[in-house]
Amino acid sequence: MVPIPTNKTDLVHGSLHATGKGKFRAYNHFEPQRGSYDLLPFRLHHMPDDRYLVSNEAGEYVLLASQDLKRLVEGKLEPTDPLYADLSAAHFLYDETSNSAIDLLAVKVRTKRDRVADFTSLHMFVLTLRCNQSCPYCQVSRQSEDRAAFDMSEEHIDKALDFAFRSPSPAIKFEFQGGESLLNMEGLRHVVTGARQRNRSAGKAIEFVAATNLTSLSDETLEYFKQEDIHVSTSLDGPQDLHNENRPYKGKDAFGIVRRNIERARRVLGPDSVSALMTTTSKSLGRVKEIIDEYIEAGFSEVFLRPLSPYGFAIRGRAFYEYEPDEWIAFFKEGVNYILDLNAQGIQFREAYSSIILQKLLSPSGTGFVNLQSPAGVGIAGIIYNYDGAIYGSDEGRMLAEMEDHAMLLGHLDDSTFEDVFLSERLFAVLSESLPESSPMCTGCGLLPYCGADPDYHYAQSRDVRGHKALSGFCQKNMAIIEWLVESLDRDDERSQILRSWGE
Amino acid sequence: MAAETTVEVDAELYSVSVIESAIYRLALSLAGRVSPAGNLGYRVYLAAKQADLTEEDLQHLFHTQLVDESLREKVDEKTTDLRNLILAHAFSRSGIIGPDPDEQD
Repeated sequence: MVPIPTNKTDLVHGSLHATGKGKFRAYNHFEPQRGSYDLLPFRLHHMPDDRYLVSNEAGEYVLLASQDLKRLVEGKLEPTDPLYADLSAAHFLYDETSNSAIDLLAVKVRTKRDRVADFTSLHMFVLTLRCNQSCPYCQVSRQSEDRAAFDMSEEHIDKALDFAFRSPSPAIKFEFQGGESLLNMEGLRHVVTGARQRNRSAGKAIEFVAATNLTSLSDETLEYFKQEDIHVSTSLDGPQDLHNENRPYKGKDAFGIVRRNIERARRVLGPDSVSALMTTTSKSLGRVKEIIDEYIEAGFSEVFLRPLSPYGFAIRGRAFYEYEPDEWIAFFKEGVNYILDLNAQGIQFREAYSSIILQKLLSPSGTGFVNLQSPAGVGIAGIIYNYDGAIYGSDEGRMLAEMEDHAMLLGHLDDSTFEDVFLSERLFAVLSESLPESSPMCTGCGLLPYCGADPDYHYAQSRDVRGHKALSGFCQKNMAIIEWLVESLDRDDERSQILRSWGE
Repeated sequence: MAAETTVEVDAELYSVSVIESAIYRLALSLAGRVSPAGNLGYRVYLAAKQADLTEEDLQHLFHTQLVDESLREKVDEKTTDLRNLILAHAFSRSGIIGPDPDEQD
C-alpha cells in the first residue's frame, strides 16, 4: 500500500524543500516514483475490438489496450505516461499525491446508489384484469370484459395506499395497470382520492400514470385526468397493419383509434403528458424504420425499442420464441442508427433504452429503471398490488403468477403488514441471490455498473433468480448493446455527440 | 461431430478457480471438465457446443479467457479489502447500515 505521509521527512522530495528554506514543495514532489501506486478496485470486460473496458464502483470507465491493462495491474505504469494521470483522475489507481481518492470514490458510489435508501418509489395498482383487446404477446393472461371477480376492491385499494405511504421515498409514482386500467375507472378514482387525502399529511411528491390502450377513453375521463394531472402511457406498436396484427380489437381498427386518442389526450393534457411503448414481435423485425417513422408522425420525441418478455401469452403462444436475441440486437442497432441519422438531419428524437444505459455510462447519478439495477428493483424500486390483493415485487412477478407460478409472491393485502413484506425472507432471498456483485460472471464483469439483475427474467427462464449469465438472453442483449454504445461514444464523431446528449 | 480437445494448464500460472471461471464464462460455446495432472497442474477437457468451432477455436477461446480471468483474480486479490472499505464508507451515513445490534445493549 502507498503509505500516508506522516512527517516532514516523508513529505520532502524536492531539492528546494530539502534546504528547509522554501515555501513550496518542488515540482518533482508531486511526481510519484515508479511503481509507487496502488490499485483501486475495478472490473474489466473484454471488448469485441480486443480492448478492455475497465470500470470502477462508481461506474467511471476507461478503454485500455491489453498491454496497458497488464502494465496497470502489474504496477508498471510510469507516472509520466499520460495514461497514468487519466487512471488516477478516474479513480483506478492512487498514490501519495491522491490521498483523498478513497473518500471521493465513496462519495461517488453513494451518489450513484442513493435510490437504494429511498425505497419504494413506484407503486403499481392492477385495477382490473379485464381487457377488451386480445394481443397474442400479452404478458398478463387476459380475462373477458365481464365485470366480476377481476376488479380490485376498494378495501384492497385502501390497504395498498397505506403501504405506499409507508415507503421512505419522498416521491411516489402511482401507476394504473391492467388488463385495461380504464375499465375500472371507479377504482382509479378511489386511488387518486385516497392518495391525495393521505398526502395532505405525508407531503410527498406524488404522480399518477395510467397505462391504457386508449380504446375506451371518454371526454369525461380526459377531463378528470386533466383535473388530477394524470399522465397517460399507451401502446403503439408501429404502422397500422403491424399494430392491428399485434393488438387485435374486436375486428376494429385499433391503430386508428389509438392514434386519434393520442391526439385527443395530447390536446387536453399537454404533449408531455402522453407517452407510448412498443413491443417487438417477429412481425416487427425488419420494420424498425417504419416503427420509428410512425412514432415521429404521432408526435413523440422518443421510442422505447422493447423485446418481448418471457411471460403470459408470450410464452403460451410461443411468440416469445419467434426470434433470437441476435435478431433483436440487430433490430435495435438498426433502429438506433436510423434515429442517429434523423438527428443528424435536425430531427430531435431519441431511443429510450439507449438513453438509460448512456445515463448510467455518463452521469454521476443512478437511474430509476427497474430492470437495470443492482440490487434488483424488485420490491425496493417498484411494487405491484394485484387485482386480487396479492403483492408482488414487480410487474413480471405477477405475470408469472398468472402462469400459476407464485414464486415471486411477497404477501397479501388481507393479512400482510408492511414489515411482513419488506422484511420477508423471500424478498431478501431474491435480492441477495440475484445480486450481480456476487453472481458468477457478473462479479468481475466491467459492464456491471451499467447492467442489472432482473431476477424475474432469469427465474422465468431457468427457475433460478440468478440464472446462468453465459446462457442468459438478458445478458447477451445488454452486453451487446452496452458494448456497441461504448464503441459508438469512443468514435468521438457527430453521432457520438448525439449519444452523449441522450445521456445527460 | 463437435470438436473437442484437451489442454494442459500450469498450476503455477493459473489457479483452479481461474480455470473454472473461464469454463463458466464460455458455457455458450463449450463444455469443460478440469482434472488434476500430477504436480504439473491441471488437465482441461473442452468440448464444443457449436458445430462451427474447431479444436484451434476451442484452445484460443479458452486461453484468451484464462488470461482475462487471471487478471480479474489479480485485481481482486489486490483490491478486495479496499472495495469493502469504500462500500462501507459510501453507505456509512446513508441510514442503510444500522448500528450493530450487539453493540446497542
